[in-house]
Amino acid sequence: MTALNAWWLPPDLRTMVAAEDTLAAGEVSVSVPCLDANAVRSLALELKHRQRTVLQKRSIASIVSSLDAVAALWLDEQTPERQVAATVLPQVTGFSSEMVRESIDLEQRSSRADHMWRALRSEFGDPAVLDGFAANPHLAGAGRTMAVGPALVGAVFSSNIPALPHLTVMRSLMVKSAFWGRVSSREPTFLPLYLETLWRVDPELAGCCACLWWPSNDRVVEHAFLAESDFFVGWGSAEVERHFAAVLPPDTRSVFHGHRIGFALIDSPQALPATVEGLAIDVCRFDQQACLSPQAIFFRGSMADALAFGRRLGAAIEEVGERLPPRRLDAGEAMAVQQFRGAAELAPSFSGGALVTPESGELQWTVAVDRYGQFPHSPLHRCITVCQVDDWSEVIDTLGPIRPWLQNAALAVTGDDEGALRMALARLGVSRLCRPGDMAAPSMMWHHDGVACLAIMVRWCDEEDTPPYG
Amino acid sequence: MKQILLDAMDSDTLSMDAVRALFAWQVQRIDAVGGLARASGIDPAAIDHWLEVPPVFTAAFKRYALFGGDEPVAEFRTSGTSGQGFGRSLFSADGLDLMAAAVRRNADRMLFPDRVATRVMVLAPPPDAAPHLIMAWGMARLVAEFGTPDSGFCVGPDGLDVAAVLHTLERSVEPVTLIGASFGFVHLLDAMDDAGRRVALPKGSRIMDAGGFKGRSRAVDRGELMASFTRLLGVPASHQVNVLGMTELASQFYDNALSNPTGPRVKVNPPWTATAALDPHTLEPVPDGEVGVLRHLDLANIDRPFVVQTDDLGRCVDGGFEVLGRAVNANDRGCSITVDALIRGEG
Repeated sequence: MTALNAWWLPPDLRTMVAAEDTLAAGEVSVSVPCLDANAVRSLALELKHRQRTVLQKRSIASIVSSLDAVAALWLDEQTPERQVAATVLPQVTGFSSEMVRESIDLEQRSSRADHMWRALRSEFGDPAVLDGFAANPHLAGAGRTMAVGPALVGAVFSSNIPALPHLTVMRSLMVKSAFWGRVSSREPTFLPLYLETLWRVDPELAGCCACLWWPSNDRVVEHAFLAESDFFVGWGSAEVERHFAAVLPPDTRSVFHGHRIGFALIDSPQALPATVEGLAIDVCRFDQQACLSPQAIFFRGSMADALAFGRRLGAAIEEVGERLPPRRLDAGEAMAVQQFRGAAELAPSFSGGALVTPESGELQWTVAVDRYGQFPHSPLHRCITVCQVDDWSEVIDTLGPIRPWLQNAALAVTGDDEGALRMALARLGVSRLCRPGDMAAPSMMWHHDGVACLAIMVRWCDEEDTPPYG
Repeated sequence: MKQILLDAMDSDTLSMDAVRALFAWQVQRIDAVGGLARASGIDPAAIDHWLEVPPVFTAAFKRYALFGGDEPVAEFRTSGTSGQGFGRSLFSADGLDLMAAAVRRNADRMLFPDRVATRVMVLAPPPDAAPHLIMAWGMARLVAEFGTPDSGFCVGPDGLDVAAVLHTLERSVEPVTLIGASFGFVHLLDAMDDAGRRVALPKGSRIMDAGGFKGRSRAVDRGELMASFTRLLGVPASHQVNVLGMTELASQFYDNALSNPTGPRVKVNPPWTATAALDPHTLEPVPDGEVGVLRHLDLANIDRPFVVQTDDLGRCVDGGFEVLGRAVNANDRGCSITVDALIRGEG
């Protein structure tokens, strides 16, 4: 295999990178570009030129069609870029090969034309507004509307989910923006491979994209990158978010996908086999490293029923683990799991709960059944607390202190209070409700982090036909 | 039980009889310990090695009040914990007596083996101003038992009075023992550096700094701190003693700088304690010299579980052990994060 690249430029622009270096990413070594501010500015000029001359002239239908073809290729095990990713990502991230394949499949299944069109219709009404002025029946008279994307979307990515950064590329191109982004040092390999496929399918479209990397402490290059980006999409920790909030030019619009927490609410009568199996999948997918993954399951029922549920959940996680083996843990991660178990093993003495672990005694998964006055801590790595409650109001109280980070709730609930519960969760800031089993598999239509991620990038121009009060 | 433990503290080696006795006592007294023993089917009378005692993890101390004493007479709180759980430690009268005995015996061997009488100056608030600070309590014992009459605390309601401390230090003619938290020293040393002031403390002066492990880049800090002790206070490395203390334990672990001046610097287990390094994946002991997560036994810890599993990384070496930092760090991989890290603001 030739050297792996942590960067990608359209072939005719590759001379803009004068030199390369190497970077260790997990167990592999990758090539990274040596960038300076001048190269970054030159690249921005060229990408913005292409946005005007290429993207503005492409129909949204043709863009969707090409992105769909790329997704189809990535769903095909024979596609060379996918084969490289399937080999390399486990070495880079520590995720099992099976989990990496599952991750690619999940992400690309929601990257098909049908989902793109539905997301566009959900956020724009008529996607024709992206091609030009389109009739808008909500304006007065024969009013028309056009939506204009930014010239260049700049992104900085995190590493927690393998094979996800393409989502921001798709969103950029779907509003006819050129794209450039910096990949994470911890997982820089997927995006160059994705752009290579896009180039094979549609060189014109890929010609409007660039994948970059620079040392995270190179403030000169970072400043040039941010100054040239017309819209910024950030991914990462709260610390990264604070950093970009401080250094982003004040007039640059942005969205940041930061830390989020998922959980599930299960009513005892709804603890059916499908519910248990679904939650087991939710816990195993991405080893809880997705912002949508559950970190706790609130179980409304008796402690005896919660114990039985926890044991069934453990058995189901064990079974899913045969298909999706867990990530390998380093010493700190292993100790975090041990500490979680160390607190949970006292549950029998304090709450009548239990610690459920694999018979082998190994660290693949851990279920704690307990009562808790706070949102139960999970170190991730397939550790979850089944938290027994008598009433949903206990859960609402528990969620209060972590409101800013609430994301996803899987519900299997019944009863008169079900509707009120859903609204209470929405008001607390939960941005997605779903069934157990679907937590880590959102659609492109979902308002990611509660935001209309396509619509937030555009500016609208309305042609008003008749004075509204004329 | 208290007398058995006090006798064990006078032994030269770890008394397995005392280990078995305290284990059996705590099985009866502390629900959590009883539960663990029953769950693992271990008979306290039948164990041959202290590692057979089921450990209680520091995460459990932070979540539950684990207390088996007759009646709590003192409560100390853990600093720097997550906001989840208790983070507090209760002590009975017997527990305080044992902790005082541990402090006395330890300081006697490790801080004042040369029997030099010094003025003990504490860079921490006195216990009546910080009644929940376990470190202040222990330091008050050192002042009372080892200090000359002019010893005392240097932190008042307005914090550390740097000017007053320097005034005293500069005029000292008899040896001084400066004790405090590592970060308290950093404050003093920074102020001295900023003001361009240096002190050459009288020969025989010594420093004891108590370092917590909050996941900082410790190795660098340690070296810098020790160099500053020499450069700014004139105290040579041979008279610098770092102490590892944990709210979960009653005893501390001192550097051997004064007690064994010729040996490599290690933390020393007093004979009523033991420390092992374990593989974080299996919790089986690793060979001496290899890095693992530290587990401590402390026979002075009568009221609370006396075998504690930490997530400090370290290794057992000839004559003691070394602490290398924390095994568990904040999750920083991306958009999912542990609730603990969020509440700590470490995301």
